[in-house]
Amino acid sequence: MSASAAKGAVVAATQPRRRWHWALALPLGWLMLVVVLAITADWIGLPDPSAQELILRRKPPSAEFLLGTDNLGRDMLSRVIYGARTSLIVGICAPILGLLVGGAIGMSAGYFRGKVDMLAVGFIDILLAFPSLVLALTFTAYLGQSLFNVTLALGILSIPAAARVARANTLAWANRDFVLAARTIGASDWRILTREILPNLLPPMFAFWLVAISVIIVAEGALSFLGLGIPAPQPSWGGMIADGREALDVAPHTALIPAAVMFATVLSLNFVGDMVRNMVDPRRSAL
Amino acid sequence: MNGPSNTPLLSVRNAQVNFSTARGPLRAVDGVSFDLHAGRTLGIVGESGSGKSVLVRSLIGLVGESSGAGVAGQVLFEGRDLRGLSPREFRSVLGTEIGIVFQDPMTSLNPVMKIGRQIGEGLRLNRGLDSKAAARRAVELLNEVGIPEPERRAQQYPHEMSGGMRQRVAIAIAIACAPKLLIADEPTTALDVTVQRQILDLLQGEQRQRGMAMILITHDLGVAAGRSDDIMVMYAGRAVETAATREIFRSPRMPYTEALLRSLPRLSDATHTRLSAIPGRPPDLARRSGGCAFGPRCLYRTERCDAEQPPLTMVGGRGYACFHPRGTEPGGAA
Amino acid sequence: MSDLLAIRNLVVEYPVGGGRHVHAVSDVTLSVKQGETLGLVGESGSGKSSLARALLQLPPPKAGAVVFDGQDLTQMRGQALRAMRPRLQMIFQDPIASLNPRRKVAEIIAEPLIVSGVSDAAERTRRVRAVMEAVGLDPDLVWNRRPHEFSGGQCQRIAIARALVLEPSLIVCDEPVSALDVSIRAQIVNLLEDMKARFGLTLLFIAHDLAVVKSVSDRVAVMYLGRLCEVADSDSLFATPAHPYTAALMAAIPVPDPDVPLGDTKLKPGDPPSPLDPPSGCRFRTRCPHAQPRCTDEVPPLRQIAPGREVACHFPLVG
Ligand SMILES: Nc1ncnc2c1ncn2[C@@H]1O[C@H](COP(=O)(O)OP(=O)(O)OP(=O)(O)O)[C@@H](O)[C@H]1O
Ligand SMILES: Nc1ncnc2c1ncn2[C@@H]1O[C@H](COP(=O)(O)OP(=O)(O)OP(=O)(O)O)[C@@H](O)[C@H]1O
Ligand code: SF4
Ligand code: SF4
Ligand SMILES: [Mg+2]
Ligand SMILES: [Mg+2]
Repeated sequence: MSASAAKGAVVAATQPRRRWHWALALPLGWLMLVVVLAITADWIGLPDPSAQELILRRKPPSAEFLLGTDNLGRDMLSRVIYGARTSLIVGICAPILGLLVGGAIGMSAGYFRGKVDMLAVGFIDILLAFPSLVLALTFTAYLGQSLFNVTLALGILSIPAAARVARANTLAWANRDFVLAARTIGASDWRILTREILPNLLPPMFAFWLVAISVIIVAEGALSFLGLGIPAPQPSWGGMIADGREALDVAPHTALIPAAVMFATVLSLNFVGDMVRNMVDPRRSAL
Repeated sequence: MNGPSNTPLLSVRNAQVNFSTARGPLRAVDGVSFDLHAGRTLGIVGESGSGKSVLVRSLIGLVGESSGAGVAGQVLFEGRDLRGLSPREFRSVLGTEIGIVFQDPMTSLNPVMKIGRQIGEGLRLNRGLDSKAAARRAVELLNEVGIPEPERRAQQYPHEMSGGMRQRVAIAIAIACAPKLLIADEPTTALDVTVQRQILDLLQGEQRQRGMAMILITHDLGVAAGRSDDIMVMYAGRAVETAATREIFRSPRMPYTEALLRSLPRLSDATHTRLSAIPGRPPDLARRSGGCAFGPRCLYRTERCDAEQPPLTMVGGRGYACFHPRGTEPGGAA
Repeated sequence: MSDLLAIRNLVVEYPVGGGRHVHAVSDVTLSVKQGETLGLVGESGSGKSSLARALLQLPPPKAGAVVFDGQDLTQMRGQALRAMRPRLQMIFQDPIASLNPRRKVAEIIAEPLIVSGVSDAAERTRRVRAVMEAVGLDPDLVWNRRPHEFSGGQCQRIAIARALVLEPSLIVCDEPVSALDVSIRAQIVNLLEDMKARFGLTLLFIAHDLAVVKSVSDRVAVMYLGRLCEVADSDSLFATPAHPYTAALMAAIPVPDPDVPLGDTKLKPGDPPSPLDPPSGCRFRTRCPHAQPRCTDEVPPLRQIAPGREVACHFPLVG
């Protein structure tokens, strides 16, 4: 073996894998809990999140209602968990839409440069010129409130940012010699974009996605707050905060619990997003 | 030996530099000792990563505790122990008694300061010149390093100059306070051969004229051959051979030096002459073995080479770190 | 020997804004014979890489013809050009940057085969293994690794394997050893020589190190500021340079022998002029020790002064 090693193959054959940071356990654990509960909500014996029990309105947390009840006497725990489902669906799907469309725009702009770039940057600037919340409000107000339309509206909002991330990274990679090398073998632009450049864009785009989820969850909350989010009775965190605000003085938990859950989730996503960005760079992790 | 006095200007004993990296501790410089006399040029050659830059930077405090490196050993400059200096004291030594020229002048020059001012800066701080006198001296220095129209150039910024010019400016800054020691870390690696020639001529001229000592780091054996009095060859953080330049080239002792010299293409050889390549590649410093670092690539390696590390042995005014040195009777060392 | 590649009146310019251009390659005419190694040397910024890229049509030059095996590449477009590409390959200076960090070594070397339509996976594996062995990589050791796990020299072997796997006719080597450790360079130079013999390659070999160029080249072309100065077989070029710039270059070579005195370049002091605004007439005249008024007025054409020997100077040192 030592002979073949001397023959010279691998500089860093046995690199220690980057150590998991203990501080990552908490945010990761929380996110996992949220995701698992959101998925299994139907099977873990939760009361119906829409079942109203008006006599039991605004009860503080107790053994019967772990997180208390809301203005209409609905079980808060159940609503927070079903709300996670809504928030996650919007939060996960909207940036995917943004990444698909914005990523394609940004990559073409960064790779082809010239006219394509000018058009793409112009398009991005126009999208950015609209105040984003107003755009989303108009959109949902016009198309009608539904889970699908809210996701679509927020997805469109995330296009410019995704396009910028993709464009900047493509610009950086497209000038590397390995792209030139791919051209010398006669690879088509499509193949170069998908096989050479895209794999290098995935880590920054993944990190972007994680951060975007948190931004979208908050944005969905803002829409609900303004009454244009996911329509009642379907629970969502933003909607719960909006409902709870009426009773802040008598039953603060109705607003604070969904707010805290949203806060913890958003913070965890940002933590994990930063960590992922550092971890997935092959050269940085090699150091 | 033939320096003007017998006490060396710079005396380095057992210098060590350790970094802690994600892959574990890394000893970038491992027990290097040498003496440098006034007016002499020491060429340090060795491949990328052999520790040349880290060694000289550690001597002048640019690599140390502040940059997360552990340094050890003794560094005497005119009898003063540099390792004991505070950062403040170091700065004044660097400004006045030791000048430095780096590989890439773009990183060592201040991009937003006119070059005349940059040259005068040290004179004002260390020599107490007023800004008029410093500016005048800066123009003289620019003239001296061969920059045409020095008055106009003094008013320019580094980005307005070519690479060769910038390196001249860096040299002007380094020699402004008439240092006794000039350290040049690959001063011409980024330059063309014709410009390289001019810069090396300039460095050598200044050095002779001012009687400075010089440490010239290079991986180009041709540069070392033409410009140094003595050569220290480094491999994997250690000095593996030291001798007068002529002796190194005429009769290398250390198999690495020998192999390196043999692997170079010669202008006198016919086209398509096969080069005698050195097999393998330089070792990974974070994965040191106990024996000779060159062992895996060495033609003369024996069991002993794997078992112990050959120390730098001084024989007849030259040193080599090898159990089976070339050009001596078999097994001559140690 | 016939010409495999003929470059005619090639021009490469880069716009830099304000209507100005970098004159990277100006009116270069040069041919490479089947089976030879043509060395290309010159100051940095003299346009060597620009020439190399232009002849591979990456991007196509501003003007001029690149006739490869009888076909003018500059007139070819799209699919026709892509079909031609496998026959001209390139090896880059920075071996690490020339390999995609996200892909495995085996994928990198197989990519050219996939692109050129070798659809049989077993056939691809066979050819990738064969070429890995040819360049001295152990297929079992390197197969699933990624480029950052290798040293520069190993990366250059991978890059050479990628260039060879399609069995090209011509390989452009743009400073293939400059970025490598000194003790590794001879290995890679030898490897290129071996591969040349084994696969019957023609090489365009760009380098700064004149001793390396002399060692591998049958003929050598010298460039200065975008123009050719001199083309000659390497022995006569090194023995009796005809162009004053070639002579300066030779004299400036640092020879690894302390007994060889430093040569005198005889250059006028000063730096190379800007390629944005090259001097009129002969571009070397601002530094040339033999410059005359005629050198300011007239561009010296590249002309033959002896069989196989061309020089672009009004007052050549020989001939
Ligand atoms: N700050 C640092 N942290 C960790 N390791 C370092 C650091 N600086 C240098 N090293 C390591 O120390 C070793 C010696 O580096 P050094 O820069 O001295 O080499 P060198 O001989 O100057 O090479 P070159 O010819 O490339 O300039 C290398 O292996 C390098 O990776
Ligand atoms: N993409 C570009 N845009 C603008 N100018 C460029 C571009 N590429 C090269 N140049 C300029 O064109 C000239 C020729 O560059 P080129 O890279 O061809 O030189 P070279 O001979 O390969 O130099 P080196 O030896 O440094 O590699 C230089 O002045 C360079 O600055
Ligand atoms: S000590 Fe042994 S292995 Fe090391 S250089 Fe000398 S002979 Fe070679
Ligand atoms: S043409 Fe004139 S300036 Fe140009 S190289 Fe010849 S002698 Fe010198
Ligand atoms: Mg260095
Ligand atoms: Mg180049």
